[in-house]
Amino acid sequence: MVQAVMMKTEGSSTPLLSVQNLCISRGRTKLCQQLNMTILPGQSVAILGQNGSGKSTLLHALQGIHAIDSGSVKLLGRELSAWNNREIAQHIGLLLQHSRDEMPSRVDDFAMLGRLPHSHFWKSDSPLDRSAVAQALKDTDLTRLATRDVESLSGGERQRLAIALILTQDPALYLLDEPGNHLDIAHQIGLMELLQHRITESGKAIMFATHDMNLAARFADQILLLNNDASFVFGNRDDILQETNLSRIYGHPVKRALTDTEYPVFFPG
Amino acid sequence: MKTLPPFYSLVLLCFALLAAILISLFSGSYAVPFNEIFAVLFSPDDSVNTQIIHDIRLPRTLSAIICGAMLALSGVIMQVLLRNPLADPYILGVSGGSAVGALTAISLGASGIWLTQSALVGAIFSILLVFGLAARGQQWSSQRLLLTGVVVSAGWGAVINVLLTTSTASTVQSMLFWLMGDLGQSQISSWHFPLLITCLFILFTQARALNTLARGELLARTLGVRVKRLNLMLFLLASVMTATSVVLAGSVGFVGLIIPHLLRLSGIQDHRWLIPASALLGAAFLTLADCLARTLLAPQQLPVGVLTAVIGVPIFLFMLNYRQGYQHGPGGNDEN
Repeated sequence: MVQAVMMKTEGSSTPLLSVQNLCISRGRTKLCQQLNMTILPGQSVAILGQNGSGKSTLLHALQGIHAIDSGSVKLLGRELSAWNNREIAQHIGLLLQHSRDEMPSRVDDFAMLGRLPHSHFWKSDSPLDRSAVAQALKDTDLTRLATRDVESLSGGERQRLAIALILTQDPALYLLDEPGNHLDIAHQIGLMELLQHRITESGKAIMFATHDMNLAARFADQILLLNNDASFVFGNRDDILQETNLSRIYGHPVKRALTDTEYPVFFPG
Repeated sequence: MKTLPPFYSLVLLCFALLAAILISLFSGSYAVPFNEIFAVLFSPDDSVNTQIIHDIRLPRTLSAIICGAMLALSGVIMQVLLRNPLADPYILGVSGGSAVGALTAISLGASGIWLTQSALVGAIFSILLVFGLAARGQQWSSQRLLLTGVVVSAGWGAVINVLLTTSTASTVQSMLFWLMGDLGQSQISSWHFPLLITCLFILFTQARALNTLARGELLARTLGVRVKRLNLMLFLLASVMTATSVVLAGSVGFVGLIIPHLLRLSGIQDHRWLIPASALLGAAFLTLADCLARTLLAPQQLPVGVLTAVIGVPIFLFMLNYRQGYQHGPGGNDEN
């Protein structure tokens, strides 16, 4: 783990994503103001903040589906707005917090949707598409349910299916909005480890929003803390994840536990 | 649990449509022998058989194919566009506007080309009205579109009732036929089939995008679908096809609602298959319904819209119950 972190910080090639002076808002509420950050290949960034502090909106803005007020977001050095939607979807995947299913769909068909940015209408699903779906369902423990209807899944199974979809999409940057939602701890840790493995293997990156300080501490090497007053703190995990910082952004005392893990462990006081 | 692979379903539906066409050409009060049908179909002569097949039964069959396919496709589109399983081609008021146009023409004593022209004008007016009102907001949401469409439909409904109650008994009969849908008066033109093929092709190119849109606009956008453009295109395609069908045959009910659902219930949920399958099944279904409409009480004719409901309701209810039985029933858990 320590070695992996070292490797990650060393690999300072062109940033996957660079954000300069970004300001976003939702309705009339100002969220991040003047945000600057870069995400390098191999990096993992966690976003922490209270409800309504703009975690989801920021992720949406970075994928280009939420309009930004000012500033710039660059994907591989080129302004995000200069890419077309399909190209963005090939490079950036976004795990949404809510999924809706008014229409019936089979589990494997749903996972296949992730192949859309890589497909052409005149071609049927390639063996590559099929093996990506099979692998994603295997990774998320859904192979057994492949032919079931999405409606019949439990909350955790649906979340795993949403993760399977982003795995088939196979982007360079994974934006995950509360990836641990509804998941039991085995799947939470298992899937985060799988993603961690993917990004260190092939120079990809993750940015995830979460309410779980310990998931952030364990899997992120950089942390973005969003305050409700539109200010933020961004930096290396060990500099940012301090009792004082966390207590301040949550407005609730947070204590650090004494453990022998490589990552800090916190609990609400 | 086992469902037919979609390719075989499609082949099956092709045969179903061919069978429906043959039955339609065969059935009628004047008996044309079965082998004669092929003879006059491909080498017409001056016989009575030729006249009956070419001038009466073939145009009517072709109209049924066009209307059935277009209504089923519009139904598929509307259900995805509004993400509402109850949506049908008429939900946004196209048929209402068209009906007001047609009924006004009937009450003024017009028929033939004037009737279809005023139906067309009514349909276009209604489409523009709904779209104009729904697009005024900052965001063009499907909720807003649905509400606007439903309310405009209700408005047209009121106008239709006024026209019905203030008309003389003799015109009310033809008005009711129009409202229920009737293929007896339809005038098929040479551009109908190219239009259907074009719509089918455009839809087919968007089939994967439709798969994602059915799961929600936000998901579709994260996968690179240009949702605004797609929504607009779907609205226009559905409107054009619904208007074409309504002008041809009045508001034939039920085809657009049940055909897509029947196919979804039988396991075809991927739009790459659902789109061609809906067109085929819609065409076959309306062709057969029209056969019954003109033979059941011959020489009296029934409006085909009555038949689509009479046949469609029991089939649909059966499928719905059958499907639910296996999905959530005791045997439905974790079987594989």
